[in-house]
Amino acid sequence: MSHAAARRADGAELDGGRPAAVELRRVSVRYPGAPAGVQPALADLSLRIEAGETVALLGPSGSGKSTALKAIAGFEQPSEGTVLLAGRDVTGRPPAERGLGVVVQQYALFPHLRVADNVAYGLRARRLPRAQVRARVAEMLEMVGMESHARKLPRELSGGQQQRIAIARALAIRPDVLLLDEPLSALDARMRQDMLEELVRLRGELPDVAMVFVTHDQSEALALADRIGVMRDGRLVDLGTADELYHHPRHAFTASFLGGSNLLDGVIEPLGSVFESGFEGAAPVSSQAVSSQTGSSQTGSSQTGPAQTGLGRGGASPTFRVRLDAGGSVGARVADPGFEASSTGGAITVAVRPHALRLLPPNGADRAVGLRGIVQSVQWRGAGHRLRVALGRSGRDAGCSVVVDLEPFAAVPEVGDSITIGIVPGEAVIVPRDTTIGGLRAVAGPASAGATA
Amino acid sequence: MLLHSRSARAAVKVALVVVLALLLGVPLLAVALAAFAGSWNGVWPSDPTLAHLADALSADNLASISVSLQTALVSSIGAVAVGAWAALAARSARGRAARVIDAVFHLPAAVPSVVVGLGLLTAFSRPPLTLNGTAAIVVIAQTTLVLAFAYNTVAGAAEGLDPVLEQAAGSLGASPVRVLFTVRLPLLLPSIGAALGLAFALCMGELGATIMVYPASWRTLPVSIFALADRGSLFLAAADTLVLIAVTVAVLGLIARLRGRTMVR
Repeated sequence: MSHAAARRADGAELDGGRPAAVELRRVSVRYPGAPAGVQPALADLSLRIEAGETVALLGPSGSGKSTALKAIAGFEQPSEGTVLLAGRDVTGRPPAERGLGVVVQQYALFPHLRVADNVAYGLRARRLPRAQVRARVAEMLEMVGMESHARKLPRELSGGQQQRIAIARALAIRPDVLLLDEPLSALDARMRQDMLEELVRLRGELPDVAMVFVTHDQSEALALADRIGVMRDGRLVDLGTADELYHHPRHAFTASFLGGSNLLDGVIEPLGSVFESGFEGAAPVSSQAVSSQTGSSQTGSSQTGPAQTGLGRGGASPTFRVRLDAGGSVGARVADPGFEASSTGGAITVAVRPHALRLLPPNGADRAVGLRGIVQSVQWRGAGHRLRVALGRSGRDAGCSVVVDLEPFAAVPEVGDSITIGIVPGEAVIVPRDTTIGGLRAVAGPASAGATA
Repeated sequence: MLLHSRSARAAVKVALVVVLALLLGVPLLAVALAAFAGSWNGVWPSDPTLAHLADALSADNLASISVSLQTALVSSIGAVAVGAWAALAARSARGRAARVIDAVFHLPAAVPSVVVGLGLLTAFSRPPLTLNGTAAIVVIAQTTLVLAFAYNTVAGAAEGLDPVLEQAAGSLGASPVRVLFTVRLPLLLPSIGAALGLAFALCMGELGATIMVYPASWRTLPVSIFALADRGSLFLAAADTLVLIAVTVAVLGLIARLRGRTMVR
């Protein structure tokens, strides 16, 4: 999946002036009739997608990801900006002149046409000779494993089968770019997994096709995409490889949306900017649970043992000691090399994934430095338990809570228990504070300012 | 079900049958009986005869049937064509323009047929466009009157068309004309068929505007029936009515069969 063109997170041109398969230059989409003060559906999006590359646009509903896809497809006309396909300016051109393969959310198969006629539709629109159409349709149906369904009507097919036909129809016209809008959202959980594997296989069979897909599901994005664009409120917040965004999120929103990080506000301590030791590496926990857990889980990252405490992966990430507003302090690394702690006056946010939090022994020596809280809820999730913990001594004064994923076989506390939480070394990441997350959405926060690639 | 007890349901059904019989059954039965009656002085008609029916199928009357059929077919096809076009236009226009189209095409339903007839008569009786005395003015009158029904039927279905289908067709390289003929119209066929049937049935029975504008050379069957009834020839009028009903039902049956075929696709 990983393609040479994909390694540059900023999407800059790699091979000597060859135009990108898709390029958006400062594209905004404002719906007609919307008042001037209202946030546009898509704001100032710049993005390059190379041939053979897969880019996922990831974000919650209303984040503008589908609008971005529609602007590429030509279903929406940008109010500002330029859309280029293989270097050709197609802004304002109708979809029919763009030659893209588009698979929309509900597949949009023509209900009155049989499967074979659906797949043949684009070929007939191009007035290809009948024999060529028949051969290409057979080839496409074989590719998606639907040869035996050629004579059926779409309503006689299951959701997954309809999806395959929609993909076959889109690819029949040999597009250079394939756009997929929430390709798996209409399927049930099991079909979704099968179809995801199918898409990964298909990706391998189409080495030169640029793929852009829109999803709100981070696992789809991580499984399929070379690069992920995280979108929010019509803006591209973050763009990078899955690994970069997962391990080195540059924004609080990215950290919370991709991987479900807890966001804890805090202040960088002025003294000792380089961190020496900390509670998260405290002896009883690190030697037993933490060292055996770190890096072995979903992150798939290199081992970061207690000995390396404080120096995050990537080695060069500067690490600071942060005093958390909810009490306690933590060593956290900075993921974004351009981040200037001084520019924020020391007020930052620490992002920690739920699986990087551990319960500390009730009477351990490190109780003094851990995060204290009260268990609010316990949820069994098959592989382990998930806790929601209200921080603060009484569980009330902090007004802040975190999600903790316990490792399998860990002792499970009960609701109302007072506990102390530690953080796996190297797992706490400093991101700029963004007051627009979780609270009232008022102004565009620092996360969205200048976030275009 | 609003009613749970079996007896209450039965009572409602009986009441419904009685009302329908009074409203529809009795007049139709009376017409059918009168068509074959030599005289009708008591409760039931007497002296049954086929003479009225033979008269109704005479050469003179066959011409009227033919005129009615031609007028109704041309008018209903015209009304459905214009109505479907307007319905699709209203759907793509959206906003204010869509509301204007909607209002304009609903207007004929609110205007009495006599007004339409009078309006056409005064508008087209002198140059530059003199249509008075031609068959065209009858066709125009009937088209105008059924336009609202045709528009409404197709507009309802057009509203339910998923715009994503058209976008998908466009993205596959289909021109707007191709999208119209391969996606939009095929999907609207059932409602277009329904509109055609409704418009045809309404045209076949149209009297109010037709009677104001028809020339002597282009007399529709309802006009003949009205003239006969006006002269007191009720049995002849009844025989003509039976023929009118038979022809209308036959054509509607034909349209329904065609519609059935499009539904299967």
